[in-house]
Amino acid sequence: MQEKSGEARKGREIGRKVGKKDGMVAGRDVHAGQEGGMVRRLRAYAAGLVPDAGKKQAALEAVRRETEKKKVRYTPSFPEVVGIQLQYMSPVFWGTQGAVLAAVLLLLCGTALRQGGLTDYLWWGSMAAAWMGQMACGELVRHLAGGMAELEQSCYINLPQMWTIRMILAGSVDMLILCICCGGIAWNTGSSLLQVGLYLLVPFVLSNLCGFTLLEIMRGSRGRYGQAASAVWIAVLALVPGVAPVLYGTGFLWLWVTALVLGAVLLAGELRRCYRKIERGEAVCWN
Amino acid sequence: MLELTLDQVTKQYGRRTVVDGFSCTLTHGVYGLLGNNGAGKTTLLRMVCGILELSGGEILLDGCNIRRMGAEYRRMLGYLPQNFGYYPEFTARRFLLYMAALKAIPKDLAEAKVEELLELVGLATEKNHKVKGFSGGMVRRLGVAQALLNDPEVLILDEPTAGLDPKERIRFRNIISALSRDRLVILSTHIVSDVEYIADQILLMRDGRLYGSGSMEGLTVGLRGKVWECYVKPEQAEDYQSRFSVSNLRNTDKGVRLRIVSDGCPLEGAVPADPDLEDVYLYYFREQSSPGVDTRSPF
Repeated sequence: MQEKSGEARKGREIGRKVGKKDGMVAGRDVHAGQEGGMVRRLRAYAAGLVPDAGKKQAALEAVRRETEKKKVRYTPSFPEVVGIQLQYMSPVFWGTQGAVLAAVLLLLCGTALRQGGLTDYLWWGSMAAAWMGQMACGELVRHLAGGMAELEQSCYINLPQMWTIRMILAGSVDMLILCICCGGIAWNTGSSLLQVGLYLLVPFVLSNLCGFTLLEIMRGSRGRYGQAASAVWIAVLALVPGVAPVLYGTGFLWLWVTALVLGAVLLAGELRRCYRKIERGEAVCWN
Repeated sequence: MLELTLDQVTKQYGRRTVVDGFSCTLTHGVYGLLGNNGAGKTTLLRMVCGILELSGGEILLDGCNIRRMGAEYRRMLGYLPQNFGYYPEFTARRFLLYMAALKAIPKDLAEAKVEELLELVGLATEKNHKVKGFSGGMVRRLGVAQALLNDPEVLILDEPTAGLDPKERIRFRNIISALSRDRLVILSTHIVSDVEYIADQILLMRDGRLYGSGSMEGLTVGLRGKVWECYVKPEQAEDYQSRFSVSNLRNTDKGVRLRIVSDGCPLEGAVPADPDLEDVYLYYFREQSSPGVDTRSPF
């Protein structure tokens, strides 16, 4: 304490000494115009001061110790968060997506070789689209089925963030496969790309809607079994328009557009409900 | 100093109130949350972790609402849930690396921290084994390790010693005691001895309310003169058990030795005994239907 006040006194004396020279009274600058000159003189005076090497070393050491105590606050960037999710996504998901892509390519080639019509393509195309919707949901069910959701929700990157990224990733892969499928069908049948896209998007969106509804209703391992069961019957439902090919006619386009818009609106509502349930903790906590 | 304030925290499921106006202020140290099954401990801890939305009241960390703090609060939080889930196909090491990634720990730091914690919880030799092959105790130890990954300032452990054998429990207690300096640890359990050994402060919870709080010494002092030891004939033991809160019963050569928790002397010849935390627990969590039992809060 004494040392500190001694240092302060010394500082004040230096200030007074320099101040007097430049016309300062009680620390106040009475000649504002001479300010620049005073600063220059202060700098010159400071340059002449030689720091105590021992004290400097001790101060630096204290700073180093304090710095070591500080925690590293690392904020991962969005690409890094995506990278983390890619790294830890289930290999089963990638395996099934790969299998679906391979099946789509094989069926495209097979149907083209048989010179099939639009209905022949849409028959399996709708089924594949419906399955893809279910698979994307399956990756999200994993969090809730394993009882990990509660723990993940307490982490820096929490469940809604993980869900969003995984949905973007899974959705992008699905869209890529659907685009390949649509392009192939439109190319081989000479149909409109938009029309084919509409026919495939409807089962995809409705299957997603069904998957998220099940996700909301069923928890734990029941959710997994529910998803598996719904994947079967949703694929069967996707085959129904193929039984009545008239539904793929231009006269029924309004029906497909309505189904797509309605499905998309309901899906958006269901997603919002799911997110809200996670935020409230209802979907996360088991008991 | 870190200060966590629970102000009139309430949680309702429909008409049922699970946590009812719970208020307290917590600073550094280990807090043992003690209560019977269904007292609302897990619900309270979930709210403290920000997982469960509050029906009423607020939780503040240094004056900031934890819901509003969001990710910044979660960054300083370590949590071991009661139902600790895991991805069965993950190895212990991969699981911890995954959790480290979610806790925003840089990869190089995470690798070192994972190795250090696996060693600390005694799973270093099992690090490349799949979690699905682990025993309940090993899974619990893995849970403790993941809670410590980010060196949390607020550590919340819900039934951390459930499924651990005595040796593991002692190891766990020592870990928590060593870690409790400069951080806030909330430990929920109904294993009284765990709280007795490591908690600086004990919070008694009953029917969703804070029934009382204090240090181990403070709580036991309040019970002096209410714990009795006496000997009865073997055929009388059952009768006394139904009439009083008996914290211990042992057959001896002199008859059955009973340790009774009661406001007044239960029978002639009973001598006062030094209360311990089990007696405190039994005294404050007696069944309401027990005859002659005063269930008013002593606080």
